[in-house]
Amino acid sequence: MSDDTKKAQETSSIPISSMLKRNETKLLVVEDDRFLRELLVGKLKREGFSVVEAFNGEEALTQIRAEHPHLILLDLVLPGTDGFGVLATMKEKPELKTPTIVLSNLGSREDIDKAMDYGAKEFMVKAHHTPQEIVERVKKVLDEHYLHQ
Amino acid sequence: MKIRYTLFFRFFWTLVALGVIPMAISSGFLVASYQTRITAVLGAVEAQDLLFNIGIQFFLIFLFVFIISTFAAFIISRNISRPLQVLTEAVRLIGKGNLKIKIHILRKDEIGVLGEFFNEMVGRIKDTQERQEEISRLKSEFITVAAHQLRTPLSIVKWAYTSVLDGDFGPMVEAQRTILGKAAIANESMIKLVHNLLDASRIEEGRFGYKFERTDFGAFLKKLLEEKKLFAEKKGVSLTLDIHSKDTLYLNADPEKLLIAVGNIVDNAVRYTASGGSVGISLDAEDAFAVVKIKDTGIGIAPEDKTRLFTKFYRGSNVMHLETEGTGLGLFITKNIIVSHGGEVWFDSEHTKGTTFFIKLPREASSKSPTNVSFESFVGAI
Repeated sequence: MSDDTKKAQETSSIPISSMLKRNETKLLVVEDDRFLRELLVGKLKREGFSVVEAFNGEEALTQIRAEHPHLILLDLVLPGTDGFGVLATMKEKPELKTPTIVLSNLGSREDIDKAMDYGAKEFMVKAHHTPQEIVERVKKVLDEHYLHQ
Repeated sequence: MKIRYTLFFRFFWTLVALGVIPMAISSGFLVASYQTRITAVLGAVEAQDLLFNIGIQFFLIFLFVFIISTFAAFIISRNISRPLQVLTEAVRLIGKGNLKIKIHILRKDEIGVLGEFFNEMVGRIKDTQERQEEISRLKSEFITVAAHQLRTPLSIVKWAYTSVLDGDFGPMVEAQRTILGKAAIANESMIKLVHNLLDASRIEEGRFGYKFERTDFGAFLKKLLEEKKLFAEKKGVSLTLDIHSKDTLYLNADPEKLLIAVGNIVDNAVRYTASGGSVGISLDAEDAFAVVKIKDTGIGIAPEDKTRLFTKFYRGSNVMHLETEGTGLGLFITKNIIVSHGGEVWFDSEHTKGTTFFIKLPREASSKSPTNVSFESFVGAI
Protein backbone atom coordinates (compact mmCIF):
# COMPACT_ATOMS: atom_id res chain seq x y z
CA MET A 1 0.00 0.00 0.00
CA SER A 2 1.45 3.35 -0.95
CA ASP A 3 1.91 6.09 1.60
CA ASP A 4 -0.63 8.16 -0.20
CA THR A 5 -3.47 5.68 0.16
CA LYS A 6 -2.44 4.95 3.76
CA LYS A 7 -2.58 8.64 4.49
CA ALA A 8 -5.94 8.95 2.81
CA GLN A 9 -7.34 6.00 4.76
CA GLU A 10 -6.04 7.34 8.04
CA THR A 11 -7.64 10.67 7.47
CA SER A 12 -10.71 10.05 5.36
CA SER A 13 -13.07 9.34 8.27
CA ILE A 14 -11.75 11.93 10.70
CA PRO A 15 -13.00 15.50 10.60
CA ILE A 16 -10.24 18.09 10.33
CA SER A 17 -11.12 19.66 13.69
CA SER A 18 -10.48 16.48 15.67
CA MET A 19 -7.31 15.83 13.71
CA LEU A 20 -6.13 19.28 14.61
CA LYS A 21 -6.63 18.66 18.33
CA ARG A 22 -4.39 15.67 18.15
CA ASN A 23 -1.73 17.54 16.14
CA GLU A 24 -2.17 15.03 13.35
CA THR A 25 -2.32 17.29 10.35
CA LYS A 26 1.15 17.93 9.10
CA LEU A 27 1.89 20.98 6.97
CA LEU A 28 5.04 21.92 5.12
CA VAL A 29 5.81 25.64 4.90
CA VAL A 30 8.28 26.53 2.14
CA GLU A 31 9.35 30.16 2.48
CA ASP A 32 12.76 31.76 2.15
CA ASP A 33 12.07 34.83 4.27
CA ARG A 34 12.79 33.82 7.85
CA PHE A 35 10.48 36.33 9.52
CA LEU A 36 7.49 35.46 7.33
CA ARG A 37 8.15 31.77 7.81
CA GLU A 38 8.34 32.08 11.59
CA LEU A 39 5.20 34.19 11.73
CA LEU A 40 3.21 31.78 9.61
CA VAL A 41 4.57 28.68 11.32
CA GLY A 42 3.75 30.21 14.74
CA LYS A 43 0.21 30.95 13.60
CA LEU A 44 -0.32 27.47 12.15
CA LYS A 45 1.05 25.80 15.29
CA ARG A 46 -1.30 27.82 17.47
CA GLU A 47 -4.11 26.59 15.22
CA GLY A 48 -3.14 23.03 16.09
CA PHE A 49 -1.25 21.96 12.98
CA SER A 50 2.03 20.18 13.17
CA VAL A 51 4.41 22.07 10.92
CA VAL A 52 7.68 21.29 9.16
CA GLU A 53 9.67 23.97 7.37
CA ALA A 54 11.85 24.40 4.32
CA PHE A 55 13.60 27.51 3.00
CA ASN A 56 14.34 26.40 -0.55
CA GLY A 57 13.15 24.02 -3.24
CA GLU A 58 15.66 21.22 -2.64
CA GLU A 59 14.89 21.18 1.07
CA ALA A 60 11.17 21.22 0.30
CA LEU A 61 11.51 18.05 -1.81
CA THR A 62 13.58 16.35 0.90
CA GLN A 63 10.93 17.23 3.49
CA ILE A 64 8.11 15.97 1.25
CA ARG A 65 9.92 12.62 0.88
CA ALA A 66 10.74 12.33 4.59
CA GLU A 67 7.68 13.80 6.27
CA HIS A 68 4.78 13.16 3.85
CA PRO A 69 2.93 16.36 4.77
CA HIS A 70 -0.84 16.55 4.22
CA LEU A 71 -0.54 19.96 2.62
CA ILE A 72 2.19 22.29 1.38
CA LEU A 73 2.29 26.08 1.57
CA LEU A 74 4.72 26.93 -1.19
CA ASP A 75 6.52 30.15 -2.07
CA LEU A 76 7.51 30.50 -5.75
CA VAL A 77 10.59 32.71 -5.74
CA LEU A 78 13.15 30.63 -3.87
CA PRO A 79 16.92 30.28 -4.00
CA GLY A 80 18.00 27.28 -6.11
CA THR A 81 15.05 25.17 -7.27
CA ASP A 82 12.08 27.52 -7.24
CA GLY A 83 8.47 26.80 -6.40
CA PHE A 84 7.61 25.95 -10.00
CA GLY A 85 10.42 23.38 -9.91
CA VAL A 86 8.93 21.81 -6.79
CA LEU A 87 5.48 21.68 -8.40
CA ALA A 88 6.94 20.18 -11.57
CA THR A 89 8.74 17.44 -9.62
CA MET A 90 5.55 16.62 -7.70
CA LYS A 91 3.63 16.42 -10.97
CA GLU A 92 6.21 14.03 -12.43
CA LYS A 93 6.42 11.75 -9.41
CA PRO A 94 3.01 10.59 -8.18
CA GLU A 95 4.45 9.35 -4.87
CA LEU A 96 5.32 12.95 -3.94
CA LYS A 97 1.98 14.42 -4.95
CA THR A 98 0.57 16.59 -2.15
CA PRO A 99 -2.16 19.25 -2.21
CA THR A 100 -0.41 22.59 -2.46
CA ILE A 101 -1.37 26.18 -1.80
CA VAL A 102 0.95 28.56 -3.59
CA LEU A 103 1.78 31.53 -1.41
CA SER A 104 3.78 34.01 -3.40
CA ASN A 105 4.20 37.64 -4.24
CA LEU A 106 4.14 36.88 -7.94
CA GLY A 107 0.62 37.03 -9.22
CA SER A 108 0.33 37.73 -12.93
CA ARG A 109 -2.15 35.67 -14.91
CA GLU A 110 0.78 33.77 -16.46
CA ASP A 111 2.23 32.82 -13.08
CA ILE A 112 -1.15 31.76 -11.73
CA ASP A 113 -1.96 29.70 -14.83
CA LYS A 114 1.45 28.05 -14.72
CA ALA A 115 1.13 27.12 -11.04
CA MET A 116 -2.41 25.78 -11.56
CA ASP A 117 -1.28 23.76 -14.59
CA TYR A 118 1.36 22.17 -12.39
CA GLY A 119 -1.40 21.08 -10.02
CA ALA A 120 -1.53 23.76 -7.30
CA LYS A 121 -4.90 23.90 -5.51
CA GLU A 122 -4.90 27.60 -4.70
CA PHE A 123 -2.84 30.68 -5.47
CA MET A 124 -2.59 33.36 -2.79
CA VAL A 125 -0.65 36.61 -3.06
CA LYS A 126 1.09 37.10 0.27
CA ALA A 127 0.63 40.85 0.39
CA HIS A 128 -3.12 40.46 -0.21
CA HIS A 129 -3.90 37.98 2.57
CA THR A 130 -3.47 37.88 6.34
CA PRO A 131 -2.14 34.80 8.15
CA GLN A 132 -5.68 34.23 9.43
CA GLU A 133 -7.03 34.09 5.86
CA ILE A 134 -4.27 31.66 4.95
CA VAL A 135 -5.25 29.39 7.89
CA GLU A 136 -8.86 29.42 6.68
CA ARG A 137 -7.80 28.54 3.14
CA VAL A 138 -5.61 25.72 4.47
CA LYS A 139 -8.59 24.24 6.32
CA LYS A 140 -10.79 24.58 3.26
CA VAL A 141 -8.32 22.79 1.01
CA LEU A 142 -7.75 20.04 3.60
CA ASP A 143 -11.50 19.60 3.92
CA GLU A 144 -12.02 19.39 0.18
CA HIS A 145 -9.11 17.10 -0.44
CA TYR A 146 -9.37 14.63 2.41
CA LEU A 147 -13.02 14.73 3.52
CA HIS A 148 -15.13 15.40 0.45
CA GLN A 149 -13.39 13.39 -2.21
CA MET B 1 -2.89 43.01 -60.30
CA LYS B 2 -4.27 42.93 -63.84
CA ILE B 3 -1.59 42.25 -66.45
CA ARG B 4 -2.38 45.39 -68.45
CA TYR B 5 -1.60 47.59 -65.43
CA THR B 6 1.82 46.08 -64.91
CA LEU B 7 4.99 47.99 -65.59
CA PHE B 8 6.22 45.07 -67.68
CA PHE B 9 3.23 45.25 -69.98
CA ARG B 10 3.60 48.97 -70.53
CA PHE B 11 7.33 48.88 -71.23
CA PHE B 12 6.94 45.91 -73.49
CA TRP B 13 4.28 47.40 -75.73
CA THR B 14 5.90 50.82 -75.82
CA LEU B 15 9.17 49.34 -77.03
CA VAL B 16 7.49 47.08 -79.56
CA ALA B 17 5.48 50.02 -80.88
CA LEU B 18 8.59 52.20 -81.09
CA GLY B 19 10.31 49.58 -83.22
CA VAL B 20 7.42 48.60 -85.47
CA ILE B 21 5.40 51.78 -86.11
CA PRO B 22 8.21 53.89 -87.78
CA MET B 23 9.09 50.86 -89.86
CA ALA B 24 5.52 50.41 -91.00
CA ILE B 25 5.13 54.11 -91.84
CA SER B 26 8.39 54.37 -93.79
CA SER B 27 7.65 51.21 -95.77
CA GLY B 28 4.18 52.57 -96.56
CA PHE B 29 5.70 55.79 -97.93
CA LEU B 30 8.36 53.94 -99.93
CA VAL B 31 5.87 51.61 -101.54
CA ALA B 32 3.60 54.53 -102.41
CA SER B 33 6.38 56.63 -104.06
CA TYR B 34 7.86 53.67 -106.02
CA GLN B 35 4.44 52.52 -107.17
CA THR B 36 3.71 55.62 -109.29
CA ARG B 37 7.20 55.62 -110.84
CA ILE B 38 7.11 51.92 -111.72
CA THR B 39 3.65 52.02 -113.30
CA ALA B 40 4.75 55.08 -115.38
CA VAL B 41 7.91 53.40 -116.77
CA LEU B 42 6.99 49.71 -117.13
CA GLY B 43 4.05 47.81 -118.54
CA ALA B 44 1.13 46.93 -116.32
CA VAL B 45 2.01 43.19 -115.94
CA GLU B 46 5.69 43.77 -115.09
CA ALA B 47 4.75 46.57 -112.77
CA GLN B 48 2.29 44.26 -110.99
CA ASP B 49 5.03 41.65 -110.60
CA LEU B 50 7.59 44.08 -109.29
CA LEU B 51 5.13 45.64 -106.86
CA PHE B 52 4.23 42.21 -105.53
CA ASN B 53 7.96 41.49 -104.97
CA ILE B 54 8.46 44.77 -103.18
CA GLY B 55 5.41 44.03 -101.04
CA ILE B 56 6.83 40.63 -100.04
CA GLN B 57 10.25 42.12 -99.28
CA PHE B 58 8.80 44.85 -97.12
CA PHE B 59 6.59 42.35 -95.33
CA LEU B 60 9.61 40.15 -94.53
CA ILE B 61 11.64 43.10 -93.29
CA PHE B 62 8.64 44.21 -91.25
CA LEU B 63 8.28 40.74 -89.74
CA PHE B 64 11.99 40.60 -88.95
CA VAL B 65 11.92 43.98 -87.21
CA PHE B 66 8.78 42.97 -85.32
CA ILE B 67 10.41 39.79 -84.00
CA ILE B 68 13.65 41.55 -83.05
CA SER B 69 11.86 44.42 -81.31
CA THR B 70 9.53 42.06 -79.44
CA PHE B 71 12.49 40.08 -78.26
CA ALA B 72 14.44 43.17 -77.18
CA ALA B 73 11.37 44.71 -75.53
CA PHE B 74 10.78 41.54 -73.56
CA ILE B 75 14.36 41.44 -72.30
CA ILE B 76 14.48 45.13 -71.32
CA SER B 77 11.04 45.15 -69.67
CA ARG B 78 11.81 42.03 -67.70
CA ASN B 79 15.10 43.52 -66.62
CA ILE B 80 13.28 46.45 -65.06
CA SER B 81 10.23 44.72 -63.66
CA ARG B 82 11.85 41.61 -62.16
CA PRO B 83 13.93 43.37 -59.47
CA LEU B 84 10.90 45.49 -58.63
CA GLN B 85 8.86 42.33 -58.11
CA VAL B 86 11.56 40.94 -55.85
CA LEU B 87 11.62 44.18 -53.85
CA THR B 88 7.83 44.23 -53.60
CA GLU B 89 7.78 40.68 -52.28
CA ALA B 90 10.51 41.54 -49.77
CA VAL B 91 8.63 44.62 -48.55
CA ARG B 92 5.46 42.55 -48.22
CA LEU B 93 7.25 39.98 -46.06
CA ILE B 94 8.79 42.72 -43.90
CA GLY B 95 5.38 44.26 -43.48
CA LYS B 96 4.28 40.92 -42.09
CA GLY B 97 7.08 41.10 -39.56
CA ASN B 98 9.71 38.86 -41.13
CA LEU B 99 12.97 40.76 -40.77
CA LYS B 100 15.31 37.96 -41.74
CA ILE B 101 15.21 39.09 -45.38
CA LYS B 102 18.24 40.09 -47.39
CA ILE B 103 18.03 40.57 -51.13
CA HIS B 104 20.88 39.58 -53.40
CA ILE B 105 21.33 42.12 -56.15
CA LEU B 106 24.51 41.94 -58.21
CA ARG B 107 23.65 44.86 -60.50
CA LYS B 108 25.60 48.06 -60.29
CA ASP B 109 22.89 50.34 -61.75
CA GLU B 110 20.20 52.37 -59.99
CA ILE B 111 18.23 49.26 -59.07
CA GLY B 112 21.35 47.75 -57.55
CA VAL B 113 21.80 50.86 -55.39
CA LEU B 114 18.17 50.69 -54.34
CA GLY B 115 18.68 47.08 -53.30
CA GLU B 116 21.71 47.98 -51.21
CA PHE B 117 19.83 50.75 -49.43
CA PHE B 118 16.98 48.36 -48.89
CA ASN B 119 19.22 45.82 -47.20
CA GLU B 120 20.73 48.55 -45.04
CA MET B 121 17.27 49.77 -44.00
CA VAL B 122 16.10 46.28 -43.07
CA GLY B 123 19.23 45.88 -40.96
CA ARG B 124 18.46 49.07 -39.07
CA ILE B 125 14.83 48.07 -38.47
CA LYS B 126 16.01 44.71 -37.22
CA ASP B 127 18.42 46.35 -34.78
CA THR B 128 15.73 48.66 -33.46
CA GLN B 129 13.30 45.81 -33.05
CA GLU B 130 15.83 43.69 -31.23
CA ARG B 131 16.64 46.57 -28.93
CA GLN B 132 12.95 47.10 -28.21
CA GLU B 133 12.44 43.43 -27.47
CA GLU B 134 15.39 43.51 -25.12
CA ILE B 135 14.03 46.61 -23.36
CA SER B 136 10.61 45.02 -23.04
CA ARG B 137 12.16 41.85 -21.63
CA LEU B 138 14.25 43.83 -19.16
CA LYS B 139 11.21 45.85 -18.16
CA SER B 140 9.10 42.83 -17.39
CA GLU B 141 12.00 41.26 -15.52
CA PHE B 142 12.37 44.47 -13.55
CA ILE B 143 8.68 44.49 -12.73
CA THR B 144 8.78 40.90 -11.50
CA VAL B 145 11.76 41.64 -9.30
CA ALA B 146 10.34 44.94 -8.10
CA ALA B 147 7.00 43.34 -7.31
CA HIS B 148 8.67 40.68 -5.28
CA GLN B 149 11.03 43.09 -3.59
CA LEU B 150 8.27 45.56 -2.74
CA ARG B 151 5.66 43.02 -1.82
CA THR B 152 7.86 41.03 0.52
CA PRO B 153 8.46 43.85 3.03
CA LEU B 154 4.81 44.89 2.62
CA SER B 155 3.73 41.34 3.47
CA ILE B 156 6.04 41.29 6.47
CA VAL B 157 4.51 44.53 7.77
CA LYS B 158 0.99 43.29 7.05
CA TRP B 159 1.45 39.92 8.68
CA ALA B 160 3.15 41.53 11.68
CA TYR B 161 0.40 44.03 12.45
CA THR B 162 -2.43 41.59 11.75
CA SER B 163 -0.87 39.12 14.18
CA VAL B 164 -0.58 41.85 16.79
CA LEU B 165 -4.12 43.11 16.09
CA ASP B 166 -5.46 39.54 16.26
CA GLY B 167 -4.06 39.36 19.78
CA ASP B 168 -1.56 36.65 18.96
CA PHE B 169 1.01 38.42 21.13
CA GLY B 170 -1.25 39.30 24.04
CA PRO B 171 -4.06 41.80 24.54
CA MET B 172 -3.77 45.44 23.43
CA VAL B 173 -5.16 48.66 24.82
CA GLU B 174 -7.48 50.71 22.62
CA ALA B 175 -4.92 53.46 21.90
CA GLN B 176 -2.42 50.87 20.64
CA ARG B 177 -5.08 49.34 18.48
CA THR B 178 -6.00 52.72 16.96
CA ILE B 179 -2.46 53.71 16.13
CA LEU B 180 -1.68 50.32 14.62
CA GLY B 181 -4.92 50.54 12.64
CA LYS B 182 -3.66 53.77 11.05
CA ALA B 183 -0.41 52.11 10.08
CA ALA B 184 -2.42 49.22 8.65
CA ILE B 185 -4.45 51.55 6.39
CA ALA B 186 -1.29 53.16 5.02
CA ASN B 187 0.27 49.77 4.39
CA GLU B 188 -2.86 48.54 2.63
CA SER B 189 -2.80 51.52 0.29
CA MET B 190 0.85 50.77 -0.52
CA ILE B 191 -0.11 47.18 -1.33
CA LYS B 192 -2.91 48.45 -3.56
CA LEU B 193 -0.50 50.83 -5.29
CA VAL B 194 1.98 48.05 -6.04
CA HIS B 195 -0.86 45.90 -7.34
CA ASN B 196 -2.13 48.68 -9.61
CA LEU B 197 1.39 49.45 -10.81
CA LEU B 198 1.83 45.83 -11.82
CA ASP B 199 -1.49 45.86 -13.67
CA ALA B 200 -0.64 49.13 -15.43
CA SER B 201 2.77 47.81 -16.50
CA ARG B 202 1.26 44.60 -17.83
CA ILE B 203 -1.32 46.63 -19.72
CA GLU B 204 1.42 48.76 -21.27
CA GLU B 205 3.33 45.68 -22.35
CA GLY B 206 0.18 44.25 -23.85
CA ARG B 207 0.39 41.09 -21.76
CA PHE B 208 -2.44 41.61 -19.34
CA GLY B 209 -3.59 38.11 -20.25
CA TYR B 210 -7.25 38.37 -21.21
CA LYS B 211 -9.37 35.22 -21.08
CA PHE B 212 -12.64 35.91 -22.81
CA GLU B 213 -15.63 33.74 -21.99
CA ARG B 214 -19.42 33.90 -22.24
CA THR B 215 -20.52 36.05 -19.31
CA ASP B 216 -24.00 36.80 -18.03
CA PHE B 217 -23.59 40.53 -17.45
CA GLY B 218 -26.61 40.92 -15.14
CA ALA B 219 -25.38 38.15 -12.86
CA PHE B 220 -21.90 39.66 -13.03
CA LEU B 221 -23.20 43.02 -11.80
CA LYS B 222 -25.17 41.36 -8.98
CA LYS B 223 -21.97 39.71 -7.82
CA LEU B 224 -20.15 43.03 -8.03
CA LEU B 225 -22.90 44.67 -5.94
CA GLU B 226 -22.51 42.01 -3.24
CA GLU B 227 -18.79 42.64 -3.14
CA LYS B 228 -19.09 46.40 -2.82
CA LYS B 229 -22.07 46.50 -0.48
CA LEU B 230 -20.03 46.32 2.71
CA PHE B 231 -17.77 49.20 1.66
CA ALA B 232 -20.81 51.34 0.80
CA GLU B 233 -22.55 50.51 4.09
CA LYS B 234 -19.42 51.49 5.99
CA LYS B 235 -19.43 54.85 4.22
CA GLY B 236 -23.16 55.34 4.77
CA VAL B 237 -23.85 55.43 1.02
CA SER B 238 -26.79 53.55 -0.47
CA LEU B 239 -25.74 51.30 -3.34
CA THR B 240 -28.40 49.93 -5.69
CA LEU B 241 -28.60 47.93 -8.90
CA ASP B 242 -31.40 48.14 -11.51
CA ILE B 243 -31.41 45.77 -14.42
CA HIS B 244 -33.76 47.24 -17.04
CA SER B 245 -33.15 44.71 -19.78
CA LYS B 246 -35.64 41.85 -19.91
CA ASP B 247 -33.34 39.50 -21.82
CA THR B 248 -30.27 38.06 -20.23
CA LEU B 249 -27.36 40.06 -21.61
CA TYR B 250 -24.41 37.91 -22.56
CA LEU B 251 -21.00 39.38 -23.22
CA ASN B 252 -17.82 37.86 -24.47
CA ALA B 253 -15.72 39.10 -21.56
CA ASP B 254 -13.01 38.38 -19.04
CA PRO B 255 -15.02 38.54 -15.79
CA GLU B 256 -11.97 38.94 -13.57
CA LYS B 257 -10.66 41.94 -15.52
CA LEU B 258 -14.11 43.41 -15.96
CA LEU B 259 -14.58 43.22 -12.19
CA ILE B 260 -11.49 45.40 -11.80
CA ALA B 261 -12.73 47.84 -14.44
CA VAL B 262 -16.31 48.31 -13.24
CA GLY B 263 -15.21 47.86 -9.61
CA ASN B 264 -12.83 50.83 -9.86
CA ILE B 265 -15.64 53.10 -11.01
CA VAL B 266 -18.03 51.88 -8.31
CA ASP B 267 -15.28 52.27 -5.69
CA ASN B 268 -14.63 55.84 -6.81
CA ALA B 269 -18.36 56.63 -6.81
CA VAL B 270 -18.75 55.37 -3.24
CA ARG B 271 -15.49 56.87 -2.03
CA TYR B 272 -16.23 60.36 -3.30
CA THR B 273 -19.86 60.48 -2.19
CA ALA B 274 -20.60 61.86 1.25
CA SER B 275 -22.46 59.84 3.86
CA GLY B 276 -26.20 59.86 3.15
CA GLY B 277 -25.68 60.03 -0.60
CA SER B 278 -26.43 57.34 -3.13
CA VAL B 279 -24.77 55.38 -5.90
CA GLY B 280 -27.05 53.77 -8.46
CA ILE B 281 -25.92 51.19 -10.98
CA SER B 282 -28.23 50.44 -13.89
CA LEU B 283 -28.02 48.15 -16.88
CA ASP B 284 -29.74 48.71 -20.25
CA ALA B 285 -29.57 46.99 -23.60
CA GLU B 286 -28.95 49.17 -26.66
CA ASP B 287 -29.04 47.11 -29.87
CA ALA B 288 -25.77 45.21 -29.99
CA PHE B 289 -24.48 46.82 -26.82
CA ALA B 290 -24.97 46.64 -23.06
CA VAL B 291 -24.75 49.98 -21.27
CA VAL B 292 -24.00 50.32 -17.56
CA LYS B 293 -24.66 53.62 -15.87
CA ILE B 294 -23.06 54.39 -12.51
CA LYS B 295 -24.62 57.51 -11.07
CA ASP B 296 -23.49 59.08 -7.81
CA THR B 297 -24.41 62.16 -5.78
CA GLY B 298 -20.77 62.83 -4.93
CA ILE B 299 -18.36 65.71 -5.23
CA GLY B 300 -18.25 65.66 -9.02
CA ILE B 301 -15.33 66.28 -11.33
CA ALA B 302 -13.92 69.78 -11.82
CA PRO B 303 -14.08 71.00 -15.46
CA GLU B 304 -10.29 71.34 -15.65
CA ASP B 305 -9.84 67.67 -14.72
CA LYS B 306 -12.22 66.27 -17.30
CA THR B 307 -9.84 65.79 -20.19
CA ARG B 308 -7.11 64.07 -18.22
CA LEU B 309 -9.21 61.80 -16.03
CA PHE B 310 -8.23 58.55 -17.74
CA THR B 311 -4.52 59.39 -17.79
CA LYS B 312 -2.02 57.48 -15.72
CA PHE B 313 -1.27 58.89 -12.25
CA TYR B 314 -3.82 61.65 -12.67
CA ARG B 315 -6.05 62.43 -9.73
CA GLY B 316 -8.80 65.00 -9.64
CA SER B 317 -7.80 68.30 -7.98
CA ASN B 318 -10.75 68.13 -5.57
CA VAL B 319 -10.11 64.58 -4.38
CA MET B 320 -6.43 65.13 -3.58
CA HIS B 321 -7.39 67.31 -0.60
CA LEU B 322 -10.23 65.04 0.40
CA GLU B 323 -8.41 61.74 0.58
CA THR B 324 -4.78 60.86 0.35
CA GLU B 325 -5.60 57.31 -0.57
CA GLY B 326 -5.91 56.52 -4.27
CA THR B 327 -3.22 55.67 -6.76
CA GLY B 328 -4.26 57.61 -9.84
CA LEU B 329 -4.15 54.37 -11.80
CA GLY B 330 -7.69 53.06 -11.37
CA LEU B 331 -9.36 54.81 -14.30
CA PHE B 332 -6.36 54.28 -16.57
CA ILE B 333 -6.69 50.54 -15.92
CA THR B 334 -10.48 50.71 -16.29
CA LYS B 335 -10.30 52.42 -19.67
CA ASN B 336 -7.79 49.94 -21.04
CA ILE B 337 -9.85 46.97 -19.93
CA ILE B 338 -13.06 48.39 -21.42
CA VAL B 339 -11.36 49.26 -24.71
CA SER B 340 -9.85 45.78 -24.88
CA HIS B 341 -13.39 44.45 -24.60
CA GLY B 342 -14.33 46.52 -27.66
CA GLY B 343 -16.24 48.98 -25.49
CA GLU B 344 -16.22 52.62 -24.48
CA VAL B 345 -16.25 54.48 -21.21
CA TRP B 346 -17.19 58.13 -20.64
CA PHE B 347 -18.80 60.35 -18.05
CA ASP B 348 -21.03 63.31 -17.34
CA SER B 349 -20.30 65.37 -14.31
CA GLU B 350 -21.47 68.47 -12.59
CA HIS B 351 -18.95 69.88 -10.16
CA THR B 352 -20.12 69.37 -6.53
CA LYS B 353 -23.39 67.76 -7.69
CA GLY B 354 -22.40 64.28 -8.81
CA THR B 355 -21.02 62.18 -11.60
CA THR B 356 -22.44 59.57 -13.95
CA PHE B 357 -20.10 57.11 -15.62
CA PHE B 358 -21.22 55.17 -18.69
CA ILE B 359 -19.72 51.89 -19.80
CA LYS B 360 -20.79 50.56 -23.17
CA LEU B 361 -19.80 46.98 -23.97
CA PRO B 362 -20.55 44.96 -27.12
CA ARG B 363 -22.92 42.05 -26.62
CA GLU B 364 -21.88 38.55 -27.49
CA ALA B 365 -23.18 38.53 -31.06
CA SER B 366 -21.83 41.99 -31.90
CA SER B 367 -19.03 42.27 -34.44
CA LYS B 368 -17.06 44.35 -31.94
CA SER B 369 -17.13 41.56 -29.42
CA PRO B 370 -13.52 40.60 -28.66
CA THR B 371 -12.17 37.18 -29.49
CA ASN B 372 -8.47 37.61 -29.27
CA VAL B 373 -6.67 40.75 -28.24
CA SER B 374 -3.36 41.17 -29.92
CA PHE B 375 -0.67 43.66 -29.08
CA GLU B 376 -1.45 45.66 -32.22
CA SER B 377 -5.07 46.15 -31.36
CA PHE B 378 -3.99 47.10 -27.88
CA VAL B 379 -1.62 49.77 -29.14
CA GLY B 380 -4.27 51.01 -31.52
CA ALA B 381 -6.70 51.21 -28.67
CA ILE B 382 -4.71 53.63 -26.52
